[in-house]
Amino acid sequence: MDKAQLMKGILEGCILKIIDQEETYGYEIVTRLQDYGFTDAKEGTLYPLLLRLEKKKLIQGVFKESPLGPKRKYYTLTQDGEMYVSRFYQVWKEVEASVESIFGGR
Amino acid sequence: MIRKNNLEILKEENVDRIANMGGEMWDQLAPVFRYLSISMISEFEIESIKKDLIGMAEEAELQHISLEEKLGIPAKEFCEDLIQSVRRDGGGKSKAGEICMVFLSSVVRTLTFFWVLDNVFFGEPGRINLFSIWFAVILGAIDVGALVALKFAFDRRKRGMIEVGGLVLILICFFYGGIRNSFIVISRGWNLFLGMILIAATVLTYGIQRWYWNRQSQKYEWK
Repeated sequence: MDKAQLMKGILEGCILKIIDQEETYGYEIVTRLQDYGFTDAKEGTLYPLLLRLEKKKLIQGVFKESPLGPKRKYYTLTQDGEMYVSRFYQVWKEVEASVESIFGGR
Repeated sequence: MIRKNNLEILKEENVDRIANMGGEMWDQLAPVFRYLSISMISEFEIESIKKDLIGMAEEAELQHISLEEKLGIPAKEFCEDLIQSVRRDGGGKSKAGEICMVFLSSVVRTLTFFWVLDNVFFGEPGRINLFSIWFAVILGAIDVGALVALKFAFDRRKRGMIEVGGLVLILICFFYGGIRNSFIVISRGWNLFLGMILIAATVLTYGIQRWYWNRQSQKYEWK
């Protein structure tokens, strides 16, 4: 079972939801994803997704001073991002219900 | 006063931060940068990505871990995924235009330089040195080569050495080469007209580049 293919579409929605909860940065997003069970999430796999979300104007990145020293990019959700998150969750519930009804009927 | 465009400002910022980086971390980062630089994605996007990666590398240094440990995946895999992702989102479309812009700008600037040298400093108005044209094209090609494969563009010392070496070579060719023998002689009127065209073209290409890079910078959170 190729988990990566399944994860591709889901990860963007989950990243946006994490950013929606509070302003955050790459490493923290990875840690939160891993805490939620996405153990394969790494900063290297996350970065291209964050870049894409920024280009789509769903998130906005701003460089700020960090306690560690070098400036860090902090992300917040845009208005388009907020709409995307609610729509994502709606679609997810629909898909989940459909899959459940197929497997539940086994 | 010639003001820097946003691409030049971002490049300088990246070079300054790299200069403060440890050698070991730079050795890990350099291949990633090289890989990005020879990919056909927009120049501003490359510099913007480099800024983010430099930040990750600086954090990795403070955490005493390698860049690959920070990324969590091999650097090559990271680069391939990143470039694929950027190109899928249309990130490579403007590269050809950028290369043409750099080439033309370099050729025009060099031709103007030689025209001014011949007419103002050497008092040889009306004589177009064919070497100047050849040299301008060569320098334009070098600038394009530097854009496409920036091996030394972010290593200040090497870049400085190459620039000084190039300047010395240019001066040697200019003063001692026997190549300054092929001329086209034109009338005074045409010579002035040519000079005006070249100066106007230099100003125009400077303005176009500045406008283009500043416009590109609006797509990215680079400050």
